[in-house]
Amino acid sequence: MTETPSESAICEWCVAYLSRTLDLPEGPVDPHVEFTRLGLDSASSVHFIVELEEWLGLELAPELIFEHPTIADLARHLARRQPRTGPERAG
Amino acid sequence: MRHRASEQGDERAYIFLPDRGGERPLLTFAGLYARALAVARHLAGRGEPGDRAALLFSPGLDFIVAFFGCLLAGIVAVPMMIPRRDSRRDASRAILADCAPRFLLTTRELLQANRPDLYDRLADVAAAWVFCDDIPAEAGGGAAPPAEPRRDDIAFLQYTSGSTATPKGVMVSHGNLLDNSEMIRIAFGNTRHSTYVSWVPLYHDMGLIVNVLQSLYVGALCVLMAPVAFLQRPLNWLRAIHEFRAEVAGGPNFAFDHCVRRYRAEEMAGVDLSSWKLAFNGAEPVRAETIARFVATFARHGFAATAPYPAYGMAEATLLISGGRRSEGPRYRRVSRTALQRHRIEPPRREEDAQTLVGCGRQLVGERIAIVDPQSGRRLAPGEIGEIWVAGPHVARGYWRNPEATRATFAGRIAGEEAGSWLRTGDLGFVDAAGELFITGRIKDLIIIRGINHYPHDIEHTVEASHPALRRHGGAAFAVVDESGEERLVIVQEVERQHRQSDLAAIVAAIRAAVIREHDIAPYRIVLIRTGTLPQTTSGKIQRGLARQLWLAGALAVLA
Repeated sequence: MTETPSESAICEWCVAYLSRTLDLPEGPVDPHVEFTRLGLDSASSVHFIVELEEWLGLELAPELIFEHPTIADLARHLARRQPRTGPERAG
Repeated sequence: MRHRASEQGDERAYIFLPDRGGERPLLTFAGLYARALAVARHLAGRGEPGDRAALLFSPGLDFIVAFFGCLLAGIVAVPMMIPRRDSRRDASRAILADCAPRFLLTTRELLQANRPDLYDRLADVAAAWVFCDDIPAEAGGGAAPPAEPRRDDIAFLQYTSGSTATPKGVMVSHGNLLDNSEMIRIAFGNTRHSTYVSWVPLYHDMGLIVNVLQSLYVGALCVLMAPVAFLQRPLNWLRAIHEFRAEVAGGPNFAFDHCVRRYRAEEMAGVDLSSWKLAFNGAEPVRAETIARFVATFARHGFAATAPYPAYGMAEATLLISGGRRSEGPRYRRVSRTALQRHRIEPPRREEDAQTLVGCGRQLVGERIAIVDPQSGRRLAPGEIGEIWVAGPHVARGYWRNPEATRATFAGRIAGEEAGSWLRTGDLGFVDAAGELFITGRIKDLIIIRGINHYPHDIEHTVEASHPALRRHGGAAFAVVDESGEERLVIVQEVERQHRQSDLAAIVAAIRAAVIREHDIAPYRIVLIRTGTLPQTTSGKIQRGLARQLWLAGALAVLA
């Protein structure tokens, strides 16, 4: 990933990923509802961040979920991040 | 600790691997002793032996220094999990009220830089904050070293039992700790070359005793990483095992599945796990499929099929109750699933009826394990399922200032045998003819998720308070095993009659958010039922086991 995707692309990806993994009877997740209301506990937050990292090719801190507590907020924040030249892995 | 400081003072005792790499804090045995002594002198001047100190630390080496500082000063250490940012009622408040500490030990970095909110949250606790990073590590001088503790003196309190409302602090004495450490040393076959790599939280009994204290006990190096770092990048744990040629590393069952799920060949290139002799697996039920998957995935990296080491224990017995012999490999029994549900051990009738149980090792040196009928107190024969009872010098004296709970748990008497107190574990199991212990279930209403104990009562309380449409004392929380073999939380809750036409999806969402916020568990299923249909005894006690059976059978009066 050499270019950060657009805010709406990130939003769509998150909605698709969380709808699939959270397996809620109500259908696809609402990007304006807080993560805790959607059903994300700290372990699944970590999994979510790891998957997002792999897709975006960026390193992300788990605290992002606290600071941007909805999919819409998170997507907006990430779309503004500077793209890296290549995926980075922790040590 | 003093012995290690004088015999191998310059050797590395502890190393911490920061999440994002970079410089790695290190403590030698001598360094640990010197810094712990400085903390001890600071505390001794400000408190009395027997006073308690709560320990609030981020993952790292400061906790270890503070812990030993307390022990040296005769101050009772109380390791605590840092309260979650967004939770309103959590166990820390009740634990602090229960143990009434004189000190709150922490670092300036945690309290001022990372979590200033803790000041206000704990403002009403009548204890003095002590910043361990402010205490200079003087080489000598100051007060004389504190007196040697006695075997029966309490070293620390372990609060892994008990609910949020009624926490129970296991009183672990110096004697308990020395004896269980010796039992672990023998069972694990540990020597000073038994390097450890651990990510398990230090406020958790397994993290503290099997890792940090055992490595010191045998004079080995212990390499630590943060729990969140493991969750994010589990392969880094394995890479550290390779880097340090570690012999011992383990965790709850889910940790092994986590490594398998996150396996990426490119991240494991060149990683050699052949030094890893003992992969202990405990704190939650051990699953045969998990071990098989892990061996299959990591054999190509030199992981030995004889390394997996299922174990069983609990804080009430300091830590370890059973384990096998190093490099023996796990023992399995194929039994009938349907017979097991009726607490009987029988061969499977058909392939679909087969369930593989994993043995958790044998009785340890100096310990006695008995399988007992919980109703009659009668000792049962090998192959019969009953409650697991334990006796030995590692069994704690009881719970802190809680004689009733202590009597209920620590005063087991086997029918027809001479007086002697046994620890009643609340777990069900059997011992086979070879002496191997198998855990088959639980009598106690306990839910274990990712190795952490949760009390149904706490969760039910959170649920009923989460929405006005929910009936007080009309809910049950219990555990089921999901499709992938993991223990998950199910919530069944009555809706008030007048609210049954309400937006049920909104109620479910409110329950979900509250349980995540207060307990950090994502419920597997939330089931709303008609008023008055939750099974209760005539005296009004909620029958969780029956609720569970009804849910599994699809027999509840479900609204949503």
